[in-house]
Amino acid sequence: MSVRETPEHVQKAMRFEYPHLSVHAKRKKPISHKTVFYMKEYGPHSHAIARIIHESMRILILAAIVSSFGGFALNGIKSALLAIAPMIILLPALNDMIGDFGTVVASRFSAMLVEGKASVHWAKNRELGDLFLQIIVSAIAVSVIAALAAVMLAGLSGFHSGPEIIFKIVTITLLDVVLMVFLIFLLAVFAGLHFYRQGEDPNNFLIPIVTSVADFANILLLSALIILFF
Amino acid sequence: MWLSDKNFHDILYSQLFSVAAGLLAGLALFSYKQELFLLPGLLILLPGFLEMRGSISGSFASRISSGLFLGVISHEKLNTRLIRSNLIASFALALLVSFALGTIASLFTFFFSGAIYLEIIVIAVLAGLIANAIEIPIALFSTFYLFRKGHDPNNVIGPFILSTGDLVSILSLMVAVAVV
Repeated sequence: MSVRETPEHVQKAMRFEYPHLSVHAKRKKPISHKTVFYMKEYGPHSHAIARIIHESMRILILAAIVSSFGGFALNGIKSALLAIAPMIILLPALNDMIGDFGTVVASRFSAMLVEGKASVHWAKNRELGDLFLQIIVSAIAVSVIAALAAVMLAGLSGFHSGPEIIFKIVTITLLDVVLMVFLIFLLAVFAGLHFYRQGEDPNNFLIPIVTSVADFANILLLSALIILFF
Repeated sequence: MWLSDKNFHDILYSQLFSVAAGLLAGLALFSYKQELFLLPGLLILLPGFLEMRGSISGSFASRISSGLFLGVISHEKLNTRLIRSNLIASFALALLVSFALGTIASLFTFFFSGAIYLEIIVIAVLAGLIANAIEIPIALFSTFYLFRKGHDPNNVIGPFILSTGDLVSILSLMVAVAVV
């Protein structure tokens, strides 16, 4: 069947004029998955505002709820936090680091999916493997530096830490960051593949999901480690 | 070899910058701890609020990066329909999510302590407005700058947004608390 014989709305969808008909057009004509994805968000007639808000809103609200539970957990260890000054100073940096790794992994994996470089055979993907090694080495180096810097800044603010406290703070930071990197990778890969298969833009879902789950898990893990070590 | 890879250096250096900014934010938090522990719901709001700018500005920067790589956004032109749409959508999301965060923190406070503290919603919305009015334009200009310089914005922009975002968010929260 030639393009001329196809119905008007399918032709319009294929000319990117009706982005919301992209899935229908895909069913009717052999339009690739990547084209459908492109039409819906980046096409010349895409309804970008509505699409971004529609796709992101649910996930952001879910992320807000999850993060608030994290806040609730944080509320539970506030007396411990008050007693260990370096941990308060370290908290935003740790939260940042975990969020940063989540954002890098999610956005790089989203780009790999959109560019067709990643597939279900992710375990054999060399680019993803290299990304993992780069992230884990950076995580170990930066977390040790961050922990020592927090101890030093707390010292300058009048909180003096002995060798035992320094060791505990460095160990808590290292354990937290390394375990979180593993979680972030697994989450980004499985959620990214799921959303891409659904024909959605992983950029809109993956970063909020990975960062909010990572932030929440980070606070829980950190609370558990603080209780365990102190 | 991945150790000599440009991406690895981008990630490592942006992380060091991020940690430095995070520690500054930590110091601000440390000096602000009395208010933080006194205001009901503020500690519940804090992780969601800190995370929001990453989810919104980070996703915004990631979409712009994808657009730049796909070639649908030109690195020479800022005022295009796609960029305007992304800006409007991100601001709308920031407002809606700030309101949601404030409402959730207020509900948590009510259910677990019985105290009704609706000011936390106003604090969240006001702080969200201030933080995103600073963060979203920073995300846009930095993504364009990095792309023009030949970097992959996906490697750098996340850490950059999250770390500057922490400082901006904590300062915005302080301003909002002072105003309300």
